[in-house]
Amino acid sequence: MSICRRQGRVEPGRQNEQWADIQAATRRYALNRTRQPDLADDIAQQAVLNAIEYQQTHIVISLHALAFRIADNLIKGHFRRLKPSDNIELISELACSQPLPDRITEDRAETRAMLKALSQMPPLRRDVFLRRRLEGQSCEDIGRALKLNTKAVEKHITRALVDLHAARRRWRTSDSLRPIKADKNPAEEMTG
Amino acid sequence: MTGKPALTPSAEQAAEWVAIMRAPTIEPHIERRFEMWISADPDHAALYADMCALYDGETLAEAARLQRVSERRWVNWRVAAGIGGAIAASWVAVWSLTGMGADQRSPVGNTSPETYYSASLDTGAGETLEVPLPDGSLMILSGQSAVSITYAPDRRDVVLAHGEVWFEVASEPDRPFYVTLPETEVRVLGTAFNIDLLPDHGTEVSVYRGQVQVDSGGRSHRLGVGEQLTTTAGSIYLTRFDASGQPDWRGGWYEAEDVPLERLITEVNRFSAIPVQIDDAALAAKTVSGRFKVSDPDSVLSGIEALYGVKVKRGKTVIALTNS
Repeated sequence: MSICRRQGRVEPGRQNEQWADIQAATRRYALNRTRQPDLADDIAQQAVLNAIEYQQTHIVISLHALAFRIADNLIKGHFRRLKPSDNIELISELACSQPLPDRITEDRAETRAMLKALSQMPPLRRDVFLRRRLEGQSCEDIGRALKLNTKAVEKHITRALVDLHAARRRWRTSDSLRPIKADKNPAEEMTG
Repeated sequence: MTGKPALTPSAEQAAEWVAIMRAPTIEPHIERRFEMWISADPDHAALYADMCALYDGETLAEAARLQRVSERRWVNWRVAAGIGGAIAASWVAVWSLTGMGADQRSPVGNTSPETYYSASLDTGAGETLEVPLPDGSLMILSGQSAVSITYAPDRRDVVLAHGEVWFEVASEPDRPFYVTLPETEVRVLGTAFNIDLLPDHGTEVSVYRGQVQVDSGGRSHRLGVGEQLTTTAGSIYLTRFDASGQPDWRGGWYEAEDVPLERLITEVNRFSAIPVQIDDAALAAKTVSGRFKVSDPDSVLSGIEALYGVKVKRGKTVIALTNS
């Protein structure tokens, strides 16, 4: 693997094996976000390459956190580049009758599952979570607004994420129209 | 994938780490503990990847928006009717954002004023309003138009309640610009375009520069320069127009080509101090053609009076059109 060869300058404690683990986790993250295995491969590899380069000149405490952050940026960058041109060939035949692309339909179904989970949460948990994720308030600000300590705010966010994660898994398994994709999802196999 | 629930202690730990690691600043000893935890077990890393992707993902962001929207009291019945379709979703967006004025926004700490911005604006007859926006975009409202604007860190939303608006949108790839109309949503991929909201929730979107995506009736359409998409009750069609200039209304003109008189009067009413109404359904449907100076309602009315044999009754509060 080319990334391993570049590690001559990497500090000795950070072994190839560790980079491989980071790449696997990053790939799983990217696959979850994009649902495109090839794209996830590229993003994970690029994220690790960038992380290796970065940590040669910066002090990095968590390489995992760094790789995830880079992957997030790469994903955003990818869709940004894609947006204006991905349907360009469709423009000429814009017949106003195209079905929505599969992915949009799938995203909508997942959005509904997320929405259902949100609506079933205890109101305080939901409010804390939405303030954090949607309105971008910090845990400290939410604590001040709702008279909670920061730890309690984090706990609410944790519980909300667990609920949403469970709902997403239920949705994936109950989505009988698309079980193949989920089953073949290589990210799922990583945990073995 | 197995159907087994994932609610092991690790899933909770992973969720907790996402909550912690998403803070704007993380203390070094916390970050070190995170790295130790995530390196300790491939299961930890996998669960964190799932949790993090869930948290960062667009589907959750969309669900969160819809959830907030449904909490606004006077849209509850819409949500109850089913959030499923694109139509329902865009309706929800319309009403909620309309009801969400500057004063109702949750107070948000430590964010710059440009990130969060909201305003509601409307124009009276004959008035046009240039609205420079904090991101460098520009909106120009025609007469009798109403919009509300809500900027958040991850998206820019404009709701057009009625009227006609010219948009020049500053490109911010990480913060898409959406225009929501009843039954239609326009996602801006490029720059300059015009939206004319017709009576009965019809919509006319014309692209002058760049691209826009229009979601209406559960379908997506991408429009390029010189393309105009018109939606009316149940039908949708695409035409081409000359995009080299500016929309007619910017100069006070309306170019009618076999359009119902009703449509022309809609344009006139954006400029007329006294509302013009058509008192006869057959007359409303009668087609007219020509280039009309709609910013001068009197000239249009005397024009159609002469050309189409329409009778104009000028009252103090309303101008009524009837078949002569």
